[in-house]
Amino acid sequence: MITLNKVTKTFLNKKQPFEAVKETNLTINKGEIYGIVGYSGAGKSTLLRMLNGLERPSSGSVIIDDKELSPLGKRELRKERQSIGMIFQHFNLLWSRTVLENICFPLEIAGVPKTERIDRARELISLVGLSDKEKAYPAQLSGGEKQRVGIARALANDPKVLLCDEATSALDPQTTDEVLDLLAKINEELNVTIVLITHEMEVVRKICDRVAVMNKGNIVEEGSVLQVFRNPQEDITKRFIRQDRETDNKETRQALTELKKAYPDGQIIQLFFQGDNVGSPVITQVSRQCGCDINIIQGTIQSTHNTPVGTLIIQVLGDQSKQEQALELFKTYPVQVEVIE
Amino acid sequence: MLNQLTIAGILTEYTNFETVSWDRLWTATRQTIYMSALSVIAVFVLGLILGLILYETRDNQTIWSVALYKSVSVMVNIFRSIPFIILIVLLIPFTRVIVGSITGPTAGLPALILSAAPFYARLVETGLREVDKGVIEAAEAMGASKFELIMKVYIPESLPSIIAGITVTAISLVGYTAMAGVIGAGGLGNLAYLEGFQRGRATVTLVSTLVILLIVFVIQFIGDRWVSYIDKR
Repeated sequence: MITLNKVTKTFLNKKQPFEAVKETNLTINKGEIYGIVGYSGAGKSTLLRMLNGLERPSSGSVIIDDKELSPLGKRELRKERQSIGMIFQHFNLLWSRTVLENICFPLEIAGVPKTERIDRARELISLVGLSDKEKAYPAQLSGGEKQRVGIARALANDPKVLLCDEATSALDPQTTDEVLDLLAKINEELNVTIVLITHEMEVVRKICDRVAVMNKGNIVEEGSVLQVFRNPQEDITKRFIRQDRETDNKETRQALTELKKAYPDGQIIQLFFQGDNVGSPVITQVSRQCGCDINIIQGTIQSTHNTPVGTLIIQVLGDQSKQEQALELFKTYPVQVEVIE
Repeated sequence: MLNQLTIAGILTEYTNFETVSWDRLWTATRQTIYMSALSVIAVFVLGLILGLILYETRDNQTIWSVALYKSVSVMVNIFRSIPFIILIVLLIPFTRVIVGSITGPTAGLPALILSAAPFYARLVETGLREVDKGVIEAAEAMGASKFELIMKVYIPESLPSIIAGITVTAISLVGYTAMAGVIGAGGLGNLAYLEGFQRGRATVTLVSTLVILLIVFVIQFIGDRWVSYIDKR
């Protein structure tokens, strides 16, 4: 669906060239939700804008649905953009237009006749659940409602691709979840390919199928969300994942230090479960087989787009040999084991 | 005693209503409205176009844009700096050629338009610069052309500034018509000067002033109402 081939974007800032994106290759499949995560200044915003030609690559090619963007003239590029929707962190609605008129805007640009425009806009308004707000102005809406209008507007011309530029960064956690659910629903029902950039790993975990981690203009790690979460390679990726668990972590760490004091000889182990294994009775089985006590310190289940991922922190008590036996036993189960010092 | 007499004397001077020719006042009022209305319309159109040009060429780096921005900008600054009373005299030969006369309300128009349009262009440019860059990017991402951007984003999104700007400009234009009147363009300024000043009829000056005030208040009222009606932010 989307292919980036050795794409580089160089900006000339005060005669000092700055490479925002460096020789990047990327393939995004049709119908998937693809996340690009990175800190601000990592180049993800520039990368996203090259997907609809708002930024032109300095070298390399951007291919969307078998069509290369670079050789297109201004007029053709504008035509192409009509099939690529985009939503923004700050929504970017026209304050001078009502909800209905805002959604009609891209249809006006595409030259859809007026009655059709209004029918289509009404359809979209009910899709995003704003039927009672049709005549409201953006100033009268909450952040979540504004983003719903943004989504409806982006979908007006039946796009193949939906680009999301930090679409939930200005929203509170609950509204973020609602907007993410809406995006997932759209992806499923309309089969729109979604590319989103964010600095929140939580967003990636909740709805993305695949993820790329960007740092200083390069994609440093890429893969399925499950794989990246389970087995992150790069430090920056690990940092992002840790951030996602930050709130739990503080309390856990406190509990860990206290437990270590209470049972100085116990070994603390972190177990990762995924999918069907989340429910399996690994702990009791290991405990029974090697006859040691197991203390459960903390457990979380986080949902990803298609499978739940569970984390369990436990402490194995008993003498050294039993602890090692337990560790070996855990490794025979379909869980990932990590010893915490 | 003497004081009271003086005050009474001043008061009678201002309330000598039999010296006012209501016919002439009506004609003068119509002339003022005519000059103001036509120049406001012309200034609105011209200023809007100039304002858009200024905005569009400001940050553009191509040689044509830079040249256009510089020349419009210099023109705007020059015309804005010339005192109106001097500009109108300066433009007499020009006015004679395009209007065919240098007296009467129509002859006042070229000077009125040339002095106010650059001022208004600056106001429009400022208004356009306040349009949210994100909204412009959103419209570009939808595939809007430059023309669509201007008609559907720039103008509607800066309309309160555009309207508020033309209200201020219209009020100063009413003031300029009075100055133009003094040197022969007719209207209330002309009436106040010829009948009020030169014939020493203070009542005529007072009545002319009141009518001008009324016109200004009406413009201000309409402008304010209009802005608050369209501003949905």
